[in-house]
Amino acid sequence: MSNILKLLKVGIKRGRVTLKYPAEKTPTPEGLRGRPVLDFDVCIGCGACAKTCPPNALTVEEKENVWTLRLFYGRCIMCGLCEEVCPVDAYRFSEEFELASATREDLEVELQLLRVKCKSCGKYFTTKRVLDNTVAEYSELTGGYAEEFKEMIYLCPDCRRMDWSETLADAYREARYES
Amino acid sequence: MSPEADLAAKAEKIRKLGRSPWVFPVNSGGCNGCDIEIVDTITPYFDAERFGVKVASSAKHADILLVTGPVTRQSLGALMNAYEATPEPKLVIAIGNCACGGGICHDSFTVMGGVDAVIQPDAYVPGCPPRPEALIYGLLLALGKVEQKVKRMKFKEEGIDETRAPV
Repeated sequence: MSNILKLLKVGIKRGRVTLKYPAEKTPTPEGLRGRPVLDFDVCIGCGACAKTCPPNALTVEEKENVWTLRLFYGRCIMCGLCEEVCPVDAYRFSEEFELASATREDLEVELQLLRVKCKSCGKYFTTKRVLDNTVAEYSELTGGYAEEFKEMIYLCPDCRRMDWSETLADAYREARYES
Repeated sequence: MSPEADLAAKAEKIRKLGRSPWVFPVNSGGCNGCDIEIVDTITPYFDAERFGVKVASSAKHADILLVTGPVTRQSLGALMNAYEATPEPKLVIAIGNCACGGGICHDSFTVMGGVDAVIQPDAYVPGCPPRPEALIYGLLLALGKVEQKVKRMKFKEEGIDETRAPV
């Protein structure tokens, strides 16, 4: 009996502790990583996030002229690596944690971007947004120096290597004939 | 029948039972993190008993199965036994990333890759592990008490032909 009275005393002193959860919002700790939200307008389609994602929640599919990024929240462990590696900060971790859904499809996000052709061999090799971003960043860094290499940027890696080696060979030949 | 209508029908059945939904957690080879969150959820701080939710000691007494883990081949039989032992009408809720889509073990040869490979769950609760609030939310969603917040999102850059499927 005395034990119950003791408990009662503690209970009255402490008051109500239960959260009124669905009726009221619960306090969330600062820096809580909830659902990663992908900004479709900012994403350039480099695929770095899909390469680093530990549980393969992010997958990339490349088919002809379409580059598809799929994000499945049912597998995302909210580690924050995609936010860390993203070169353009397209990911933002919101504080939403109420991700429960009745169907699997509702947990999926799909982003489709256009791919571009190589100017020399005509193979699709990267997304249009990556090229635009590269040109913008490069000319900002070097102050217009990119103009000379602009043609090279629109080549696929294989053709770029060939182009560069041909340029080197020409330069070597010229130097040899001059001497 | 669409999944939403199916879910609502099942929740209606449970409501007509006129009793509290009792849950039975089944660990199908998970890391125990989600099970600890289930225990958290029934503490006085979160108090799932406000909604009549009580953890049953046997699947025979339960209305809702809380399945955690990626369903390993070893635990598949135990999971099916628990599923068959649960009396109708029953709900199955996939708790955590492993149960939702295989999680970090999704490409292993020892797992079935999520609960939906064997049983169609009525609600998915992602999270690694999900917060106790997320668990309560998922449970109420399965019972049809709250609205779903996430939706499928799709974005297509201009110039992609909608009619032609990418080869």
